[in-house]
Amino acid sequence: MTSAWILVCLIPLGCGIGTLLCRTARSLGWVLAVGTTATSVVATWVILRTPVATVLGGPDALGRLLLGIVDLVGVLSTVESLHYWRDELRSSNADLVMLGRGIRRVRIYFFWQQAFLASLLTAAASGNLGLSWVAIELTTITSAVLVGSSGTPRAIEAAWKYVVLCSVGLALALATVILLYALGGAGGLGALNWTSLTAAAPHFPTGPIKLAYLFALVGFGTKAGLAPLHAWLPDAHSEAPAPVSALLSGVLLAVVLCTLVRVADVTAAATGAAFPDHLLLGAGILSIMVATPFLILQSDLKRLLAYSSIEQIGVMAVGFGLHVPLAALGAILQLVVHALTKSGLFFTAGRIVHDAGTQRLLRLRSLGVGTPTSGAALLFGVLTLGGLPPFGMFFPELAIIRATFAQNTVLGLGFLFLLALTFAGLFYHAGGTALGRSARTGLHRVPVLDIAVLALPAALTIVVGLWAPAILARGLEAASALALGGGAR
Amino acid sequence: MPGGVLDALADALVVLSLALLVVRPAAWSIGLLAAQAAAVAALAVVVSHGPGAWVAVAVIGITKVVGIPLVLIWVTRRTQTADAVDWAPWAWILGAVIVLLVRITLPTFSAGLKADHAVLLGTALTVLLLGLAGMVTGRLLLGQVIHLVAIENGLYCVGLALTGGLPAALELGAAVDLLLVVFVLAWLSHHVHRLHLPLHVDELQQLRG
Amino acid sequence: MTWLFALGLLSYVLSAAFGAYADNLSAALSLLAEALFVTMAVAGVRGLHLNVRIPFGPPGFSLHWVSTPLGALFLILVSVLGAAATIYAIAYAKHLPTSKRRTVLVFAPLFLASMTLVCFAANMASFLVVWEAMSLTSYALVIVDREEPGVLRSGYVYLLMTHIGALCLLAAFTLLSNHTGSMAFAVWAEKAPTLPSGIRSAVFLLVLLGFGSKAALVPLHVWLPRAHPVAPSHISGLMSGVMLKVAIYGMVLMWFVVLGPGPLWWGLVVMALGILSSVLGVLYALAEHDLKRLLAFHSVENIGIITIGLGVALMGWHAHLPLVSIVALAAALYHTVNHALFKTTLFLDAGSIQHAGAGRNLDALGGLWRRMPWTSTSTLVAAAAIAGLPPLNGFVSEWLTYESLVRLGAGGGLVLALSAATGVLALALTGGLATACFVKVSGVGLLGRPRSDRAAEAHEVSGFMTGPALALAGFCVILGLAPGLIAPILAHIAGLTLHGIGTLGPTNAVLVSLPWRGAHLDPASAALLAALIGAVVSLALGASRARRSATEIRAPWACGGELTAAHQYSATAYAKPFRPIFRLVYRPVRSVHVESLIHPFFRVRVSYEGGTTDVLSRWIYRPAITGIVALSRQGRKLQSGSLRLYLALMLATLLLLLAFVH
Repeated sequence: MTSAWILVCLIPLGCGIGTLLCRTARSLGWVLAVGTTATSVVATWVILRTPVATVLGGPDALGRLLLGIVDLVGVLSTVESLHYWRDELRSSNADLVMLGRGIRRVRIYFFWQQAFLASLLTAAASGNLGLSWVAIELTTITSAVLVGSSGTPRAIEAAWKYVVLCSVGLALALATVILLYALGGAGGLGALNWTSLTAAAPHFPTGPIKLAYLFALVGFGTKAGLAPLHAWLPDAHSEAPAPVSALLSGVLLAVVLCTLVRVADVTAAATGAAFPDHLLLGAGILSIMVATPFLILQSDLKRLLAYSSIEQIGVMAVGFGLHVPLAALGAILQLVVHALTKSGLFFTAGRIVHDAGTQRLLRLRSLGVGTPTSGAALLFGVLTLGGLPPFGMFFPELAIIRATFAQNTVLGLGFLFLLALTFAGLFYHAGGTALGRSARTGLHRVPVLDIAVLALPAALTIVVGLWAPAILARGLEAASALALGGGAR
Repeated sequence: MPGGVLDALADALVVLSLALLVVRPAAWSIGLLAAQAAAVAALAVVVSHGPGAWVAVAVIGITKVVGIPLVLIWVTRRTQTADAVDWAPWAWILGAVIVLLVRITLPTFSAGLKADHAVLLGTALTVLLLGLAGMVTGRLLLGQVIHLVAIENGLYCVGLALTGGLPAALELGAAVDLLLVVFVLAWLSHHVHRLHLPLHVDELQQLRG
Repeated sequence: MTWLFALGLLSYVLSAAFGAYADNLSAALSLLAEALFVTMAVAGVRGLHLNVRIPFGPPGFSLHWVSTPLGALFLILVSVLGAAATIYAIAYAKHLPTSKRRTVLVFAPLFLASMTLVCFAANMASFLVVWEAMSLTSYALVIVDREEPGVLRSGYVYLLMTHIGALCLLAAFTLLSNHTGSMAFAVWAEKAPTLPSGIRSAVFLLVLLGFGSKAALVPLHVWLPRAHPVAPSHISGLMSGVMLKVAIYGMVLMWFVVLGPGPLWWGLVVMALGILSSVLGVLYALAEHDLKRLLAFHSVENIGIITIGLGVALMGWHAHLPLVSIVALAAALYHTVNHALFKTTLFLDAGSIQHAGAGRNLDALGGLWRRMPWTSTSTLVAAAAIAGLPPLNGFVSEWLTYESLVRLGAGGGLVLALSAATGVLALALTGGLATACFVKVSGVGLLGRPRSDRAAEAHEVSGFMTGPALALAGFCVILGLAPGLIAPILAHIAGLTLHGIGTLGPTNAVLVSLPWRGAHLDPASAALLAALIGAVVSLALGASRARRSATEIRAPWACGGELTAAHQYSATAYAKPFRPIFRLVYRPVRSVHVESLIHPFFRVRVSYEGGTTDVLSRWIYRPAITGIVALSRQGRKLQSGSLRLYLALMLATLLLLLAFVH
C-alpha cells in the first residue's frame, strides 16, 4: 500500500457524502465519529511509516508534519462544529419544522466542511506541485461555500471577495505550475514531484524560473495571506462559522505557505538562495507591518484574530526567508503552535460571539465573555501568540529573532519593535475582553468534551513549543531541513 | 510549425484581450470571451500535434466556448444586467502599460527558451495581466467573472506555449476547478440578487477595517 | 544542593496549588520554601554550589541554574521579604472575597518562585523564561481588583512596559549569544569584554532599557505609580521591595559580570538617569496624597540612588579607581538591601492602615499613633530609615554613596569631578526632600487628630500583620547600628563582581572614610555621633521648653468658630510651598469653582481642585501614542472594502515585481 495517504484524503470526502444521507442528529454524529476516527488512524499510520515515493509523490517529512496538524485541527474542528450547531439550533428557538430545516442546513454544512477537510489533507500531504495546486484551489471552493453559508449580506460579500481574490491568485499560481512543468521537461505528472523538481532545478534557465517564482509569490502568497495580497483574509475569517475559521486560519494558510516555501527552494536551487529568500523575507516583514495598524485599532473580535494570523504568517515567512536551520526550525515550530493556538482561539471566539450575540469588541467588553472557560482560553491564546514564556510560542519566536539578529542587527531591532506593537494591540483588545468583566459563573455547565476541545490544543502548544521532547524535535528538524531545500543543496 | 500563423493568432489573442478590457456592455463581453476561447482553441491545434490536441480542443470547446458563456448568459438574464454598461476610460492606459511592460521584460524572463515559446509566453502573460486589469477596472460583478475566465484562457496559453499540453490529471483538475469557481460565483450572485444587494463591486463595501 | 533547590521549588508549586483550597497549608509551604532558599544562600558561603542543567525546549536550548554569591544576596532578599509578606498575607488575605483571595494565594507563591529562579538563571533561555514568568504572575496580582475602574488599564500599562523591556533584554541577549556563539552567561562573561565596542554599547543600552523599565528608572517609570496602588499591599511591598531589586540584580549581572569595564559615557548615562530618577521621584512623591502612590514614587527615588551608585562604579572602573568602584557597588548593594527592608515595611503598614478601614488618602488619616501603635511604630522607623536619618540603615548606604562620589571626584579629571559634584548635590537634595516627605507622612498620617470618621474608627490589626512589619523595621535598626555585619560581605561580593579589578587587602577598607583629612570614621560611629548630637539638642530644647511651660494651656482661638480636625495642617498644605518652587516639574494646575445663589456673595458651595501635570507622559508618551494611533488610522485605509482596490494591489504587486525584480 504505497498510496495509503490518498486514503486519508478520501475518507473525509466519503464521510461528507455520508452526512448528506443522514436523517437524524444521532446518525450524523455516528458518521462523523467513524469518519474522523478512520481518518486519524490512517493518518497516524502514514505519519509513522517511512515515506515511499509514488507517482503522485507521497508525503515527505514536512508533508507528514502538515498532515498530522491538519488532521488534528480537522478533528477538533469537527467536534467544535457539533457544539456550534447545537448552540445555533438551540438559540434559533426551533420548533419542529424549523428543526427539520435546521438538520438540512447541518447536513449541508458538514458535507462542505468534510470536503474542505479532504482538500486540505490532500494539499498538506501531497508531494507533488500539480496535485497541491488542484487541492488548494479546491479548498477555496469548498470553504467559500462555508464562508457564505450563513447567507447574510456580509457573509455573501466576504465569500464573493474570497472566491474572486483567491481564484485570481491561484490562477497566477497555475502559471508557476505550468512553467515549472515545462522547465522540468514536461514528463508527465511525476515531473512535478518535489523530489524530481528539486533534483532537476540546478539545470533550469534562471529567467523563466524567476518568472515562475514571482507568480508563485503573488499567487500562493494571496492564498497564504501575505501582504499586500491578504485582503480576503479578514473578511472570510470573520464571516465564516468559527470552526471553519479555525481551519482557514490555523492550517490552510500554513499549508499554502509551505507550498510557497517549497517553490522557493526549487527556485533557490537554480538561482541561488538570495533571490527567492529575500523576497520571502520582505513579504514577511511587510505582512507584519500591514497587520499592525489593524491590530492596534480594531473593533471586531474575529477580525482581530484574522489580522493576528496575517502577522503570524509574516513571522513564519521571515523565519523561512532567513534561510538558516535555526530560523527554519523556529518557523516550523511556530507553524505548529500557531495552528493549535489559533484554532483554539477561533473556537473560543465562536462561543463568545454566540453567548454575547455580537462580535464587536466594545460590546463584548461590557457584556463579558460568557463563561470562565472562554475567558481563560482567550487569555491563554493571546499570551501564547504574544510569544511570552512560559507559553508555547516563546522558543519559536526566540529562534527566529536570533536568526534575524544574526542577519542584521537593525532588521532584528525593527522586527522586535513590530512584535511589541502587535502584542500591544492584540493584548489591548483580546486581553481586555477576556478580563474585562468577571465572567458569569454558574450560568453554564460546560461539558467535558467542550472543554477538551480547547484544553487539548492548549496543552499541546506547551508540549510542542516549550518542552519539545526529543522524539518530536527530530521530526520537526527533519521537516525544517526539507523547508530549507532538503539534501539538494 | 507555420510561424506566420502562430504570430497572427498570438496577435489576435492580444487584440481580443484588449478589446475585452475596453468594451463594456455585458452581452458583448461574453461574446468576446467566447471568441477569445476559440482563439485559444485554434492555437492549441496549431501548437500541438496528434490526438491529444483534439482532446484539448474538445475540452476547451465544451467548457470555455460554450459552457461558461451559457452559464454567464443565464446569470445576466436572471439579474437583468445584459445591457449594463461599465465604463472605464483609463483602462486603455493600463492596457497599454501592460503590453509595453511585457514587451520590455520578456527577454529577461524568457532567456533560455525557444523563440516560438518566448513569443507564446509573452502573449500568455499579456492576456493574463490584461484579464487582471479587466477585473481591476470593471465594476460589475459579472464583469469580474468574465475577466477571471479570461485569465484562465491566458493561463491555458502559457501551458500550450511551453508544454504542448499539461498532464491530463492537472488539465482536468484545472478545468473542473474553473467550472466550480464559476458555479460558486453564480450561486453567490444568486444570493446577491436574492438579498437585493448592489450588483456593482464598489457598493459591496460593508466589510472594512 | 540540587535536592534543596528542587524541594524549595516543589514547596512553592504546592503552595500555589493549595492556595485555592487551604490557606494555612499554602502559607506554611511558602515559608518552608523560603527557609530552604535562605539555607541555600547561606550554604553558598560554605562552598556548596548548585549547578543544574535541564535540557528543555527545542534542540539547542536548555535551562541552566547556578548559584553565585551575587545571586545569593538577592536570593536572601527575595526569601526573607517573601516570608514577611507570606506571614502578613495570612491575616490580610482572610478578609478578601473568595475569588480574589484564591488569585492572590495562587499567584503569590508563583511570583516568589519566579523571582527566586531569576537569581539562579545562568543562561539566556532560563533567564528569559523566569523573567517573563515573574512579569506575568505579578500582572495577575496587579489586576486582582479588575472590576474596579482603571485597574485593567493600569495592568495593561504595566504588562506592556514590562514586555517591551523584556524584548529589549531579548535583543541584548541575542546580540551577545550571536556574537559569542553561546547562550551561557559564563561564556559571555569570558568573551564579552573582547567584542567590538559597538556591539558592547548596544548591549549596554538595551540592558539599560530592559532592566530600567522593570526597575522603574525615569522616564520608564510610568507603570509603577499605576500598578503599585492597585495591587494588594503585600504584593505592592514585594513588587516594590523585591521585584525592582531583581532588576537591579540584572543590571549588575549584565554590566559588571558580563560586559566588563566600558567607556566613560556608560557611567555618565547611568548616573544621569539615577539623578533624574531620584530627584523627580522624590518630587512627585512630595506632591502625592495617596499613601501607596507616594510610596511608589519613593521607590523611583530609591532606585535612582542605587543607580547613582552603579553609575559611579562604572565610572570608577573605567578610570581604574578600584576603591571607588568597590565602595560604590557595595553602597548600591547596601542601599538595595535597605530599600527592600524599609519599603516593604512601609507598604505592609500602608496595607494595615487601609485594612483597618482608614483608606490611603493622607488627608483622611491622622491620629493613628494612638489607635494603631504597633503599625505606627514600624512606619515611623521605616520612614526615618528611608529619609536617611541616623542611626538607621538608610543613612549608612547613603553615606557610602556619598563617600564613593567624593572619592570619584578626587580621582582626577574634570568630568569625573563635575559629575561627582552633581551627584552629591542631587543626593543631598533628594535626602532633604525625602525627609520633608516623610515628615508629611508621619506628621499628617500618624499624628494629630483623625481627619475622617473612618480614621477615627481605625483599630490595630492582627499580630500576623504588625509582626512582619516590626521585624523588618528591626532589621532597619540593626543594619543601621551595625553595618559591620554585612558591609564586608557586600564589599566582598562587589569585589568578586568587578572581576579583574584586583584585591583590596582587608575588606573592611570599605568603611575607611574621609580620605582627605586622614581621619577615619565609619558610618556606624557617624550615626551614633549624629544620634548623640540629636539627642543632646532635643533634650536641651525640651529642657528649655519645660522651663517656659509654666504657662497655662487653653484652646486656640478659631475666629469664633469651633475647631475641627479639618483645621489641622493637611498634606496638601504641607506640600504647598514646594509647588511654586518646583513649578517647572509640577506644572501645577488648580481650579476654584464657586456656586452661588442670586449674588456672588451668597455662596452655596466652593470646590477646589488642584493637582500636578505629569510632564514626562505629556512630552514623551502621549505624543508617541498619538503618533502610533494616527499612523494606524492611515494604515487602516488599506482595507477599505473595495474589491477593486484589492485586485489593483495584486496587479500592482505583480507588475512591480515583473518590472524591478530580475
